[in-house]
Amino acid sequence: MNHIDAEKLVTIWEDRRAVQNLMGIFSGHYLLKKEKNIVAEMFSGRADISLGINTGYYEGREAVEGYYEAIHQKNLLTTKLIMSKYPEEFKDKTPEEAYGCGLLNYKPLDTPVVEIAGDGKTARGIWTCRNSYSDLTTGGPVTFYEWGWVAADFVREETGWKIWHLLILNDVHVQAGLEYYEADKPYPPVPGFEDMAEFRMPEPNVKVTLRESYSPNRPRTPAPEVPKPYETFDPACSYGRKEA
Amino acid sequence: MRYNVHYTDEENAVRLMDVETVKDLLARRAYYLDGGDYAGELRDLWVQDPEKRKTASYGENWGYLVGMESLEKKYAGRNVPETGWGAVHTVNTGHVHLAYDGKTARGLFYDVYECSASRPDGTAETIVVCGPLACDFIKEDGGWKIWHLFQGADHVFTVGEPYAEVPIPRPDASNPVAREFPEPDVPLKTYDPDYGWADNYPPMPDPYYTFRPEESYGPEGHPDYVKEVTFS
Amino acid sequence: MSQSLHDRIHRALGAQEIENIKTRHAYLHAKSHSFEEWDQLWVYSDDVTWAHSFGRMVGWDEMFYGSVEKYDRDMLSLYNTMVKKNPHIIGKDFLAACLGGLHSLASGVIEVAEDGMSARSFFLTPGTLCACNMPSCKRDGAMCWERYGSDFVYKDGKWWYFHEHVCPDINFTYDTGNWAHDSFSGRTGGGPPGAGAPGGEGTGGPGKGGPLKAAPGGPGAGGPPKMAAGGEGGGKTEDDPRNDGRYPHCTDPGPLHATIDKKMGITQCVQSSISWPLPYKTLDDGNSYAPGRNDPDKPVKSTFYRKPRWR
Repeated sequence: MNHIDAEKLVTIWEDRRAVQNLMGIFSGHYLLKKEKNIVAEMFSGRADISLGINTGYYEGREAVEGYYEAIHQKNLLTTKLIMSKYPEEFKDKTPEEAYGCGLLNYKPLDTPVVEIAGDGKTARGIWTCRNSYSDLTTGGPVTFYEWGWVAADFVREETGWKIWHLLILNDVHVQAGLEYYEADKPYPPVPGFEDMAEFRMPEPNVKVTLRESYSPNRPRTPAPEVPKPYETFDPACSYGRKEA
Repeated sequence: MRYNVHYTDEENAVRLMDVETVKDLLARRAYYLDGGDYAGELRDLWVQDPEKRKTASYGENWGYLVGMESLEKKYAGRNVPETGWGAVHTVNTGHVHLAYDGKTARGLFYDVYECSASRPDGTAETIVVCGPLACDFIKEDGGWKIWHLFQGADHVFTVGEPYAEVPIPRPDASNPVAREFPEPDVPLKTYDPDYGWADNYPPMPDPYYTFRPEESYGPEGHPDYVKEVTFS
Repeated sequence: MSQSLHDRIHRALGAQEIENIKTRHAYLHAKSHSFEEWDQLWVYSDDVTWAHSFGRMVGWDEMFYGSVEKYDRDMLSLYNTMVKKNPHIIGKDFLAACLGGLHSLASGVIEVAEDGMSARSFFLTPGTLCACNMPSCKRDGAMCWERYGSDFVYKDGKWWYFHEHVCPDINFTYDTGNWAHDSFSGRTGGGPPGAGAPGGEGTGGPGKGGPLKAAPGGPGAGGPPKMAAGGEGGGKTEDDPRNDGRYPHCTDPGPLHATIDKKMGITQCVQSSISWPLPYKTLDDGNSYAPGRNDPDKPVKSTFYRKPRWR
């Protein structure tokens, strides 16, 4: 057997496990309605973090924090509306204790491909995400299905591996019960949930179509790029906005 | 018989990463499938050794394609529309055993995927399929490769149509996955998903010493496969 | 923490073995081969626990009865029901022929203790509970999504399952229906029974379609017919509110967790019943899914169920 660098192999394994654990905890934050903690606990302390979605990038710390803060504000709003509509059910609970009530977001990640850079400083990973989540609309709680991918560049910092550039792309985002190409069909309004009509997530600060969702006339579109073994981080291969 | 196997730290480190590599391989395959790139999948992920390519196989509920020539023609040659087609495969629950001799590996995984295809009237049909994914892997000079792959379909839903209304048993003509499977080189009803996992195929791998065709996820490993033998 | 190469390899191989134990459980459970699971995977200790929404079974005797003997009896009862409705089932593996769900694993977090003697894992399981041979004689495309918190121990040169805590969150189907709105509006009669436990007769499944497709719900997955309460070595106590024999006896009674797909699910608060493990030194009450029950060597007092073959 040629010389095996066992230390190096075990270190690579440990790093892969740490990155996979990080993304398992990422899912858990959505499940436990801890989205407001994601940036502080899971993203790098760097200023150039980013989050990409189908319609563009939230580029820079302020934009990414703004995105997750908006989710937190939405959770506060839905909690307030649900508590107001069902006061008897919540008579013994504070808004903090009821935070995130009535809605569920699973975001399960599998099909992992993770590569640790040869220099050990960065990593890249991709997962598929088959999600079922509920959201509060003016018509009450509604389930949506997401079929897509979550990919990220990671950077090793003193406190461990952190997300640097995150990409969340959906091939399908559909209201459950409809065909996968159909647009949402709102349910009749329910008294007490009218304020949900006003809520909007912030737009990406770099607007660019990163992926067109499935439609019957969409050209066949491959999955996002899957990481290959690499020696050192190259911005041209980033899951953030690529620099030439 | 059971083995009590002893490895050095170096051997264990290699085995550690070999298991991760084969799991990676099947995950990478999913992303090729998401783009409908079956030819790329065969080119980049499957066996390269000429002798092994002769026995490479791909199986589904209705039989097996055998030999890389057949896979390239029938498996990769399937028409994937350039417009109005999409798929997302989620591959998980990987149960993997690396042979004690380190030359092959076997794994059972589960794939839940959706596939949408447009209809002439501008709408689209989506199916959601759940089924086992079983694979023999082989270690070549260029790295680990897929050798025998079995992709079963336990349940096939058409979105918008109640699964309860699908007859038991289901005629193959009404099964979108059956309609897509090419003419097999080895026709064989590999298992009956209408009886859960009662047929125990594909079986979960157990620890094993070395590769044997009669234990593989290729046709020779199926209990109903008949091998013609003469001694003259 | 600085460890020798050998210790690091032991812990890494341990984490891989944990994945294999979890997946072996998934595939054996898909076939309802509970005896093999408890025979091959579980440590022989009276501190073993298995928890679900209905409660926590504690100790080898209670867990073996609830997870193996009662489960096998329920599967045989279901098989006998189906033999009358579908004679083609005769001769099939009676444990596997009716239910066929696969609790697939995702978003795994695995930590092996610094001392290398235990491990903990957290998974989401966006699983299928689909079945074709049910008393309704119709296909059921049920999905059951849950979370798993599991502890493992290293003993006698091998890794073993020690504690399991299953938290079911939602039941739905991919073919039709909108579980959140259907539950809220009361269109459905309820989804399939909770995963991992034998169920009673199926109630109505999720309703069909979205806003434009109102129709009665299809049949639920159902489960084995209800078993009588009581019986030697197990069964319900007199004061148990679910004294219908559907659930096994639990030293720690439930409910421990609830699914959200029900009419008043909209008022259900976030359940932090289990959380992911963090790096830890050793299995103790602060790092366990069954605090107070962390002795893998605790002698099994009951002789009712025989010791597994290879122990």
